[in-house]
Amino acid sequence: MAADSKEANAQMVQRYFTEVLSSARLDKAWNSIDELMRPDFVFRISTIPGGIRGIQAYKEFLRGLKTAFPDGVFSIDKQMAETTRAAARWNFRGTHNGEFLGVPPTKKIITDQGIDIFHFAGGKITDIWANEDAFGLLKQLGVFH
Amino acid sequence: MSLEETNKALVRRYFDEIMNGNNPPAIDELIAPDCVFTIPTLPAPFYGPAGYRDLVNLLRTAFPDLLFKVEDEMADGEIVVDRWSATGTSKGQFNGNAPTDKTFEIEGIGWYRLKDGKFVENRVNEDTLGLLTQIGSIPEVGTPQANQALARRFFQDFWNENKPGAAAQLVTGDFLLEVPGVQLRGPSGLEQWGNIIRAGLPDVHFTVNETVAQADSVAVEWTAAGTQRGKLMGVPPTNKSVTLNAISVFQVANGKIKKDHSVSDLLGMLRQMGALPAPGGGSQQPGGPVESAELMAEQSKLRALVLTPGQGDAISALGSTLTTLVRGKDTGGAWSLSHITVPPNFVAQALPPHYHTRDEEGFYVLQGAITFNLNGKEVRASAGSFVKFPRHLIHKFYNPDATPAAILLLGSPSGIEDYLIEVYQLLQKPGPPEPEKMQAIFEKYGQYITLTTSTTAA
Repeated sequence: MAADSKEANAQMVQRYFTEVLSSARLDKAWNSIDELMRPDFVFRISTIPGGIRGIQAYKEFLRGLKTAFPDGVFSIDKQMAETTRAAARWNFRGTHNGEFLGVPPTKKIITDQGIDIFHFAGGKITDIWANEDAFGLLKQLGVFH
Repeated sequence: MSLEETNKALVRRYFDEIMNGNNPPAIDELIAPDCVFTIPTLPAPFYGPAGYRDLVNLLRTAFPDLLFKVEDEMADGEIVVDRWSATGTSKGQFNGNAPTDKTFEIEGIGWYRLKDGKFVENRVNEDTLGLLTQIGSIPEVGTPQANQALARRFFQDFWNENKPGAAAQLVTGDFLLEVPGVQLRGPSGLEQWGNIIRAGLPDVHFTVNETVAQADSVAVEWTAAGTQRGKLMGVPPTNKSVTLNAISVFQVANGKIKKDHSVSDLLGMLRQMGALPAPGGGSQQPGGPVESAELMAEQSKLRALVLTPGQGDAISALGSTLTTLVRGKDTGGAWSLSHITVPPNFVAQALPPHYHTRDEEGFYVLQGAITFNLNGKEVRASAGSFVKFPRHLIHKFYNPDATPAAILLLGSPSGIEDYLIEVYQLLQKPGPPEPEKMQAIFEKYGQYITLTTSTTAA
């Protein structure tokens, strides 16, 4: 399977959701990040103005996410891919056990859903645009009514 | 042209002609009869061309200058995905919120499935939070605007709609209600106060006339109106319509009301009830005492408590037994009482120096002797002694003697009894207690461990 083929890109997206976002072990997730992402990779999400630039910053972001939702699991709902781009629709479920977006832990089980777009170059992920229902999530955490 | 290129071109037409409103009839050409559009921002899906007309109409009424721009696009078989940006100005109602004239700029990602040149399934995620925040439909948490909204919800949800669980959602666990002659604690204290007022004025309705907010405080000027069908302020039912004008000052912490200090025109209300003469003459029926008879009645609904020797919930750890005699639920949150036995030579196992931010403690030594370390100063208190700590005073207590000791611990307001139960439960587990769990209990109840006993905490 050639790098930068549709199939390779789709498989990298699967590895990203399984090995990075849903991994129970941060050290394993970090190894996968090193394999999947280009060092200057950029992650963009509306709740973090300016996005997250570089592998190291992304690892810290993931550490925060895992602290907030230690049992959080992302599952892919649908996937599509081109030779330099891919996208996935996903669902999330996790227990709110640590501070998240300024909200102290509520111990509630939270669900979320979103669509991520991926760009690839040289067999690595160079960019991710994540768009999820942060408003719905904060409603579940009791911030909005 | 490949299927992918054809579909991408259709998505571009979709944005230009339908979403940007340049050719509305394209809805019938591009949207399949069984098409489903879903977006978390709007609660219900939109179906078929008719649904799309509703969607576009809804969006263009709310934001007449709404403009979408496709920033990135990709296609795979019958699927097209794009990332778009949108700008607009709030000129009409949106999601039940009044227009604010504010502009927004957000991004979204759309996932479209096309069949035979028509859209059949469109799923969009957009920055809903950013949209609603930028147009001012939702205030940021902790801002004066958010605190004002919280104060309005207090009157609407708790007082006017009497929603179940509203008290717990709106006020903190250590909430303090202060109205002249009355001090109540916590959500249960607020509910108790609600019952008293509603017993006197079953149809009571509150109107918020003005709110002013600054930092963590909100001042609300309000009017309550109702018919006095029950006993109120010691006055038997008069069936008269009364209004009460008042000002409440709320202290807000972490999105909840921590304190409600209200001052109201009670004399004016008593006059309307005929319980006090109007100023300048007119003798009316003598008023009942202006003490809170209803509060007393409400307090008496709390279960009367008789504990015979040996009764109370007991839990033991490290050779010490904690018996909880009176809990917050028995006193409307006002106070609690616990009996604690302290085994001989109980020094190393005792809690390190700490202080409390929420409650005051009083210790009465029943048996043996307890040595207290108060702010670094040791005091040996034998049976019959009483010691009281204010909040923030760093203290520790232990029993260095060879005889067992027993104390009664009074906590006010309540809360310390629950704290102690959780500590004992943790200490019951085999092995040394996990520091994180101990710390979590301390934080939950506003207790702080210190490494020194030499100074009073701030």
